[in-house]
Amino acid sequence: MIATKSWLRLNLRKSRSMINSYRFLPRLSGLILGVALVFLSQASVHAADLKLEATLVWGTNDEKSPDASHKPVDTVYAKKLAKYFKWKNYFEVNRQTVTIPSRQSKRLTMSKQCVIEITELEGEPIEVKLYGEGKLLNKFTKALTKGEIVAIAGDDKNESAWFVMIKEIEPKAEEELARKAAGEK
Amino acid sequence: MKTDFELNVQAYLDGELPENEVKEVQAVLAARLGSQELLRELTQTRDLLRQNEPQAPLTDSRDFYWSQIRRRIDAEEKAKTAASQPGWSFRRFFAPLITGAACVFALVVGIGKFNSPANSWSPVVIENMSSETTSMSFRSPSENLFVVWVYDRNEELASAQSAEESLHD
Repeated sequence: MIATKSWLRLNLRKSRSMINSYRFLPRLSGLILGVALVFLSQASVHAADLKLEATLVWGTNDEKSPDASHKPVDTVYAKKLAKYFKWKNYFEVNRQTVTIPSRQSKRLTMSKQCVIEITELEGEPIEVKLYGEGKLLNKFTKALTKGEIVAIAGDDKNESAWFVMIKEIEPKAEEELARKAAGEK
Repeated sequence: MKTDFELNVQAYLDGELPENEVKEVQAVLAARLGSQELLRELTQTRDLLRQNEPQAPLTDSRDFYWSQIRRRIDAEEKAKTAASQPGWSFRRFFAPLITGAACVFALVVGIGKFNSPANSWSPVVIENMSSETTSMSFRSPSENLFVVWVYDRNEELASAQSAEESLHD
């Protein structure tokens, strides 16, 4: 009997403390919900399709490109490349935009010799494969952070070089590109 | 209505009568007609009440029991104070919201910093898939640029050899 009473008293105290802690549940659940929403929003960004722009750039000390279709590269790229590389001029050979569905790959033929394959991986990383004349030469995996430019490059004939510049297209930039394309037409 | 004598007899039975009045009551009880009957009746009533009075023993310790009462009184007083102060309930409603919003804001800012170009902690895995080529990489946090430079392994060997030869010469 005494044991039963003690047990009841203990449980009564426990339930009192539990009731006290339940009072904080709405606050706690609100906080957890908020945190979960933040993480979900972050996750949804990476679960969505990946829109990229790949540009093949030729770096040379020549003032003009032998190919008339080549135009000087975008000033942003030119400044970045000139800061680290020895070549005086950079020409845009080819530029492509691509949408890579989640967890899928896309191949981009940048030139006759150069093909890249980009795969959207789980989380932030992308995998880039470089094919030279049909042969797989190099492969790298890297997280693509906001505004970052990832380049794969190498030497070319006559003391020149080639660069494949890859960057993620942000929605605003995408609109601008579409506007530019419409203007060019 | 009870008379003073009946009340005195009750007090005598309960032992609440002052000593000087006890003898007086005893004398009256011995002399007065029907007073013994009254005494017997009151004694029986007292005994019946004592035997059948419901007991309410405390299950909790005395201190714990009184602390509960104290807590309830405090809670009621707080509730009354809260009711008289509208600002308190306002704070009570918005405090968790503001706290939650602050935490979310801190997280968003933290994640933003975490994903910022300056925070270039992300691991990179580079594999050379051909025996003819090799590569090196570098990163420029200021320009937010990452470059993998692929070059011919044979050319590298040739340039190393020529450099060595020029040193010998």
